Amino acid sequence: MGSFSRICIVGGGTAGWMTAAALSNKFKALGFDLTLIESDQIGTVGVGEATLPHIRYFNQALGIDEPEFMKLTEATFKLGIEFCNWGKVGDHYIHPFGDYGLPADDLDFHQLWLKQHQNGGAGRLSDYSYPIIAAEQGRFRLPGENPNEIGSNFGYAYQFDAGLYAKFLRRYSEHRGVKRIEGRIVDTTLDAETGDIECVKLDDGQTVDADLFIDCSGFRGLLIEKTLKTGYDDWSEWLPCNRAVAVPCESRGPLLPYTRATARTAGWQWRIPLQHRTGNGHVYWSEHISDDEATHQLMSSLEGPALAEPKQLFFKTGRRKKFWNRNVVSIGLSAGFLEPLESTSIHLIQEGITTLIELFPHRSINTLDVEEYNERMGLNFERVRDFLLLHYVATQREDSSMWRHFRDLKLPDSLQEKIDAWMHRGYVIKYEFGVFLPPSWVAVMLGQNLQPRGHDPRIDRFDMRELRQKLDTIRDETALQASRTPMQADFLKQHGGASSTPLATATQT
Amino acid sequence: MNSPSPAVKTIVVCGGGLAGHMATLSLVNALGSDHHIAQVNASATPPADDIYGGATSPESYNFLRGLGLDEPLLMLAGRASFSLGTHFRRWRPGQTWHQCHHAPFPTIDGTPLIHHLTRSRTPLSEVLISAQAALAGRFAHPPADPANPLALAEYGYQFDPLDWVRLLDARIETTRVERLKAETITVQSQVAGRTVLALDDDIALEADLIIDATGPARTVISQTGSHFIADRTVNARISRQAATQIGQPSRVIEASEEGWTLKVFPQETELSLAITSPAEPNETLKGFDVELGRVSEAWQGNCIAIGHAAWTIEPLTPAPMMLLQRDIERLLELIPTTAEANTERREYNRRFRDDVDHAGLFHEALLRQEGAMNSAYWKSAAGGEPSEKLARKLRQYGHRGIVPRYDLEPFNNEDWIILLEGLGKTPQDYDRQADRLPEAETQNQLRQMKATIDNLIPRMPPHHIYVAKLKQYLEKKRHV
Repeated sequence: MGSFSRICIVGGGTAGWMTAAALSNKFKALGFDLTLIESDQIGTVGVGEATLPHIRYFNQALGIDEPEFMKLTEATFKLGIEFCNWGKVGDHYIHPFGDYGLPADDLDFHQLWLKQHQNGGAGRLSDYSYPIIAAEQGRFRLPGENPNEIGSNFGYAYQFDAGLYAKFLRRYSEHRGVKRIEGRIVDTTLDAETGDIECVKLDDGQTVDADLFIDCSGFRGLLIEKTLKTGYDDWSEWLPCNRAVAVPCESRGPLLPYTRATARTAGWQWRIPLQHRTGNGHVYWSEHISDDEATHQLMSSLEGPALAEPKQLFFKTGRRKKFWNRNVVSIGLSAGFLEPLESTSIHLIQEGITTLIELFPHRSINTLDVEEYNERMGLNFERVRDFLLLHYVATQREDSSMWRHFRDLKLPDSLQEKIDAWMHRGYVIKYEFGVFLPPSWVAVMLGQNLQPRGHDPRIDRFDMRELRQKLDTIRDETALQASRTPMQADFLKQHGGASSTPLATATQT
Repeated sequence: MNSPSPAVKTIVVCGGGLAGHMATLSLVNALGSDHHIAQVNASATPPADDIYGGATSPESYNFLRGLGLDEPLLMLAGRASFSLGTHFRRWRPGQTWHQCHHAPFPTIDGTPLIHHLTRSRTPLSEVLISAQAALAGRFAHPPADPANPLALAEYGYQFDPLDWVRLLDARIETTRVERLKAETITVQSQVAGRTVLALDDDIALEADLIIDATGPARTVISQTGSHFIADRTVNARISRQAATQIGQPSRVIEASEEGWTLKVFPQETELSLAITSPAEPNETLKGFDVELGRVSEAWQGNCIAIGHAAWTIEPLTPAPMMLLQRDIERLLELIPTTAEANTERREYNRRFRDDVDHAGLFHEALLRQEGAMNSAYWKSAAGGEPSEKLARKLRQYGHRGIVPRYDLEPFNNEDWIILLEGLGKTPQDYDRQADRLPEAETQNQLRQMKATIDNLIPRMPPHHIYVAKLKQYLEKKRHV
């Protein structure tokens, strides 16, 4: 009857199982035939992932119980990302999930702060952000009911073991009828007339045919690139880091509710705290550092003994020319790669999945759906790219050849205009669609010492005493709320999300 | 400690009327006393103020309150009434619908309402409380209780611009604004961000920033090198009739061979505006001709044109008031911090173009239709370059009921869906997730929505009675 309901997902990493879980949840009742092909021989890239607050909606839509999910994926809460050494060596700031302070009438809070800052000092902008103060102290609780109150106007995400998350979702998906096939794809057959993929052939000889193939095969892009030769837009011109080395290590110290990204001489290093261990990685630009040196920088800066051999990754920043081409939709690393500096990898997977579900074909693929999907995902990728690039160019560093490269880089016009408007008066050029909204831009620009020369003249209607008072009230309330917040490890227990696995130690491995 | 003196000290607003008064009052509210604000020719309300269309959208509520025009004042002294939208009657043969204001549509089983309607071929208007209330001529305030279907209704106001200009004028009188009069305003010199205006060739007025609110006359902006990009010209004919009883809680637009007529129903008056093609050379029409279009740069040098001095679009929707509000909000957000103001000017003009173009898409959808009438007005209204941005919306809606959105558009998703359904466009397909519910169950839920609305409408008071009772209540409260 041509109901377009045979779906084949190729690849079983985070992208594959997130897709399988969402499709089985949304379309199970319609009798969809969902197959996922994965091979235990092919490793996944998942190295411990940090996410954005949107992931909570994804989990909620699946009906996932938060404590259970946290327990099974060794997850921790995440209030933001700490950036170290980005503006200058020795600097650090947290990019929080949430607005700073509270607005005054029609005026953004950061404008109040700017004026006070330009007139004798207002302390750190961070002191007016509940999620930052709580994060710095290792504390966490859920936001309160009223989103207009300090201590409630923030969001949160998770840091979890992506491998365990995939496993968790695999169980979820198989329970909802997703058929998992173990095997490697060795061949694909194209429809001679349409050029669509008709079926894929596995190493054991069996073939799987489907109306729609979802390519979650990672960097290789098995269907979208190897078979369909869709092409790739290389964005190395803007984001040239092209390698990474990753390694988990033993946890040390209190469980921190944030991810850390520390700038290095030829890239940056991540630290993702999970309940049982800490994930680490070094993203770098191979033109400016050797693999050995990059690995050495990583291994010599771990907080505890390494739990495995470092794993090397190769990539090229950019996006597939078409995310959806013929009857193949690429989701995850097959769609494109942007370094995980702002934890966008899983978010872009999520956007891909929700957009696909919204535009899911009825009887056959309509070019209008393909056009719309590609348009929307293109905008998502591009806006993340500009925000990532901001981190590299909003800096005073010149201490290595990589930083000097960025100092001399000519930026895309849209980003240059955004920086100019900010520097001039702390004005943020806004857009509506895209994951990073004005507070994120404010956090990074101020955090990396882009101090505006002016401020919004409307602030001048407050006299300095009134302004000081407004700020003090907010800062005191922020500190008070944070001090009443439990330590994350205690909250996890109380929440029922504490994992029962013992802490990983190097001697086990 | 005092603030350093601002780079832009003197702001001169040229012109009165809705644009001039709203801008003046907004500036004086937003800026501290170290900004000197003057208004020239406040008493000259441009006749074109009537083509602001006499209606606001729900988004104007806070803006108006900020100007001191809160609802009690508007009802008691501003002769306003409520507006649930615009009723298009016989826009084209068979096209009659209520372009109502509505909160985000509910979802059914997690899937947007529109897809369930498409699937069960149920007309949208049947489940729109604000459309049904307007059709019945009834009104009541949306309650806070989200379980009440009326909570989804949104409203703006119907008003006579002359009344609001009077209210605004009285408020400005109580402020520090300096008010001046002049027959002619000439830009004498523009040096380093400062402009000298010659008033009546004898008074020289120095200004750091000039707001041109002179309406289609564009007295100042036209002297700065910014030019008007005209799309087409129409004739507007306005009449006012005393009304003993308030009309319906929505405006009415009716099309004819010659163009269309708008009726607005504030308290005590019925405003009528006829839009036709412009007068032929040998013909005398009672109205005045208006060029539709926008200026190339709304901010040129240190002059910012707002309202009809910057753009003119027909009042087919509340778009003129929406754009005027956006002009003023944009202005306030970008009061320059330095005399050269390059950053502010570039950003202002970018947002200005986006806003005007995006509002224009909505009107283009109304006017550019196949099978348009063959008269001068309709031919010219349907002419011009079609916009790709609109084409994308139409393609996607026709295909599966999705309206692609651009950043910060003035019209929201509900406005667009109501419009496209009103124009008779039907999505071919819908979101497959809608299929999760058995069709009978969907129909049952839609029937229930309709029944709740049908049940509620007769219990809402007629518009004129609601306004009368509200005024009595407000009067009483005022005297307590």
